[in-house]
Amino acid sequence: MKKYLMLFSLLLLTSSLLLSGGCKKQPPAPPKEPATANPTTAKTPTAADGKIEMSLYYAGHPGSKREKDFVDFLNKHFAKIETGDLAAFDGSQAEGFDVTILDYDGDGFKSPRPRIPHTFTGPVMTMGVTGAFISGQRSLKTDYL
Amino acid sequence: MGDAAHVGSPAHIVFSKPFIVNPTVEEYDTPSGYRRFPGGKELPDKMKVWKVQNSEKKTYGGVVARSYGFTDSPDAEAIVLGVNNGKEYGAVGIGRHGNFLQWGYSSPPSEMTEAGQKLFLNCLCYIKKFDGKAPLVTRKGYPRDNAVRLAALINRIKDKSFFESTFPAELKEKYDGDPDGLVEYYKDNFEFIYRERTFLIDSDLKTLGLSSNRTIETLEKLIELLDSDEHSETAQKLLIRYTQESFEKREQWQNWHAENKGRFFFSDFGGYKFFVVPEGYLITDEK
Repeated sequence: MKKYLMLFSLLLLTSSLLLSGGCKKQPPAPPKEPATANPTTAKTPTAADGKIEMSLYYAGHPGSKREKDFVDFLNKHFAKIETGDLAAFDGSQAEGFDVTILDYDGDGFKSPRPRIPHTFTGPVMTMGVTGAFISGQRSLKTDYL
Repeated sequence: MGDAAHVGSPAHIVFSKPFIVNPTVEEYDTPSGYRRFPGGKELPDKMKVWKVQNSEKKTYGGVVARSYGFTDSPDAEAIVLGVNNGKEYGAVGIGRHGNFLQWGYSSPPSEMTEAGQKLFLNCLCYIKKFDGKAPLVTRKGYPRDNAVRLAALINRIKDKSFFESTFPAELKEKYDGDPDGLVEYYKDNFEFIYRERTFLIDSDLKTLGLSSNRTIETLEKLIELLDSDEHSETAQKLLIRYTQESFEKREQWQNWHAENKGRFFFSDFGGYKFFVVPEGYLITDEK
């Protein structure tokens, strides 16, 4: 009985050594990333083609030279660009995009003033005089005056 | 605003991530328009600038936002000061308010300099972080710097209603025709300026021996003074004036303060009031 007990103990000891990787001391497990890790310190993700993995919605003057200028440039750097008409922009078109650009060509004093609901909180870049007037519609610090 | 930006602090993340922005620095004559504004006469003859774009217009076409009150709330930041000839030195060429980032320059990317293009790309990456971060304040008041700025113009603006619509009636007899005197009056009382139709000086606050209407210390002192028989009525009046709350009981003010301690800010732009930053609103990463 004693023999069996000793054998059993030896077996137990051997298995625990095997499972633990031998006699080496295991390094402590690295601390887990906190659940609220600040996403803003992460590197800008890029695709295999070097483009930034972001989707942009450009609302401007469809068919204009200025729209083409922006789209050609942005297409070189970002994974996805779509375009639309600033005059028709109401916030819903930005659904699913990372950033919206609001822009127009010509005289900014005459550009469309889109009706964007105040509940819209997606990231927006407003451009030039057009952008300043859009800011003014929302009583922002970036307005024309 | 034209093509250039003032050389400022490159510490902001938009100058380094994801692309390093290397502006080519040059010197411009200080725009003559700056001299009309408070502090303008003290500026040097030349200033360091860098070109964001090379437009046909060169000196106009873009737009800057006024600097007054621009940074009086934590939801806004001035990223680039734009070289301009219509507003003050310090006016904002590229700035953020909440989830909106305004790029005040006029040119499309093909006319931007290499540094301008990189800054543009970086700004697009940067504003993405502010998804859901609506502005904490919107325009409800004209920041107090405007009192000084407009005081300097009383002899140049011909509209007869200008003085009465901007400054309290009791100042007209003493300062009408005396812009220097009016400017000094508002500079001497700068920390007590608030606006209710006109730019007023808070004499109630002065009677309490406080030094400013916009410091956290003042807010806390007013709440303390609710315990004072002599000053509680004035303290209550000022707390109503400078907050969005209308509590009637001292304990309510104390509880409100305790619940929000460390998250108060004062904004002239938002209506000369103390506001509370919602928990989790601020993004505390490198700038």
